[in-house]
Amino acid sequence: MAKAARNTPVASMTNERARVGRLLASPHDDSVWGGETTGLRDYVPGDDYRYVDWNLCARRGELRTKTFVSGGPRPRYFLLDCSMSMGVGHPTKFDAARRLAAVLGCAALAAGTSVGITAFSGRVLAELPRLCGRNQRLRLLRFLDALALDASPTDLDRAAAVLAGRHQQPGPVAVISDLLNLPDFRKPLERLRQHGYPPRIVQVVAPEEADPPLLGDVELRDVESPRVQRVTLSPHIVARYRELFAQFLASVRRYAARHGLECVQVDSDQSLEAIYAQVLALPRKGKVPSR
Amino acid sequence: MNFANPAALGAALLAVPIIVFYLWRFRLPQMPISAPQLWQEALAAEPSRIAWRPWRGPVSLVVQLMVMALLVLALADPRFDGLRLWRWLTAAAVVLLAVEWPLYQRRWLI
Repeated sequence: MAKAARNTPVASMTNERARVGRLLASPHDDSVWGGETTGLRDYVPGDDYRYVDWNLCARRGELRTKTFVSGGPRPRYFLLDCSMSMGVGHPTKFDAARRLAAVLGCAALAAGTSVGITAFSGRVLAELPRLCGRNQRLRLLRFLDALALDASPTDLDRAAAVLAGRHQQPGPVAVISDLLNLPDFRKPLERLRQHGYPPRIVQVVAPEEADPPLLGDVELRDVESPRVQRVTLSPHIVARYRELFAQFLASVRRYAARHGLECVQVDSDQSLEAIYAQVLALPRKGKVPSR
Repeated sequence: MNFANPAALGAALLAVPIIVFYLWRFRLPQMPISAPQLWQEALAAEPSRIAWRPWRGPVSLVVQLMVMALLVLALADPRFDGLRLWRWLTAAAVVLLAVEWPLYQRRWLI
């Protein structure tokens, strides 16, 4: 994968520093962390509650966030889902997720920000300690290349708790996952927000998931458990499933819009250029593109 | 019990292709799913199909094997104590009729 990444247009795209800010940064992010207070600005959903001026809030009823002398750009983190559900699709969602992490990670490194990656499934599988500098791109790509799917059931909340519990400088987190097989995808995202890690949702979906190709007698094999179920799929059942799946994707978009989070939903079979263009097309907070 | 045409019992080997075709036919295409909870919700819309589904294959196989067994028996022409099967059946029917008929007659009379 490292070789492929060097040969794609990614290398040239990653040099465009301005572009990385669309997904992994917002104008207020870098000014929040630091030492000396420089002033106040309007509160934006996702701001760390520790930096809200609560005295001012009590006096005037206004929510304002303190700004500090910038101590340099905040690090960018990635939570990369390596559960078995990411193995679905042609190419798999896992490959698409790794490509996306490679693109965004290299772009962040090129922009001079440090990057850390946490690969998880039911537990934290591997961690790439924070890298900084353009010359670290190969190390990042090698780390992604070495990742493999893990059979334990997805536990994003656990990974979020591990990341949020670290004594490190917080920063935006891109959660690259299908968000499936989770009891509630909102809880880990809330946890990240509350600990000063504003999440960005990158949901990877396989076309086969959204539009199942089979009808009639089939065996449904749950990829995250040994369970196999023989069923007869009627057009009515498949239509109902499509509807439920679309509702699930819409619920993720609604959640992101309500909390002012960046959210992008990509198909696993999209080309790297198309995925990157979709990421770049992200609007500002609160607006989420429809699929 | 013996058979007038025991060579016809060899036709019982027809069970082998029947079972092979059954296994081949019921090796269903697999579909890996990553959202089982959504599938369960969708399948709940038509529970009758789900309830019947596990029995459909085995019942079909048993019926096919039973039909084949009857055909093979008919070809083999079994005899019981020197009588051909149909004679034995006819005799049994006559006996039953002889026993039951007066009872029916009496009920009608009543």
